[in-house]
Amino acid sequence: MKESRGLLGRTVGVLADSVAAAARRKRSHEPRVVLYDSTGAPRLLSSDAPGCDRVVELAQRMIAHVASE
Amino acid sequence: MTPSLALRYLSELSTDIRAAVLLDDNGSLVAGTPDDADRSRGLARLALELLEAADQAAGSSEYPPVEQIEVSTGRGVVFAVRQAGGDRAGSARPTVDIEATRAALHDQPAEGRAGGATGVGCTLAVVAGRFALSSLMFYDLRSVLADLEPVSS
Repeated sequence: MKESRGLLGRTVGVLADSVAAAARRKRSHEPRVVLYDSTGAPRLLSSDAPGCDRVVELAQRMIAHVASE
Repeated sequence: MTPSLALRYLSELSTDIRAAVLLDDNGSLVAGTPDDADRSRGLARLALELLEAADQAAGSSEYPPVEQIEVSTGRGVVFAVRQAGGDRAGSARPTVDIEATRAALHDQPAEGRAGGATGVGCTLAVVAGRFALSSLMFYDLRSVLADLEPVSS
């Protein structure tokens, strides 16, 4: 049988869900670089990997270049 | 399918695509959409730099050469597919002379300048909306590259 939560428990639950949702939204906006080899195997490039910043910067410039049309 | 037709077909396949450029195996611009040569040249130049940066980021010996790239940001996604050419298959990572390509892009018209361009050895790069699905996009890009015909210069 499911244990009912009080007002405080429900409030804490709603707040925790909101924080988790905000964190998920933030993660979805973070740049993500995936490289694939000839077999199609994906490799997620870590954001702190050497050269990752340069790849993201160039992609952002391409997007801005197109958006400026 | 001609390069121009291929890009138009690609744009119809996916409404998420904002712009696309097709480069031959020398890294020269073959076709681009929208039909603005200057814009396409700029996008092609950035796409070449992106490919080179991805090669460097991937490392030289630990991993196989990069053939597909997906970079998603909050404002959009960039996809690039590079078809290994006949002499490239199984060889070391392909390299592109950025400076030579830049010079060529400034001196030559965008459309139909690459003799002998086919899907083999070509690179297709697109800028898409942020909700584009990578698996579908890569499938479309590879399909279009596979259907490309040689371009007469």
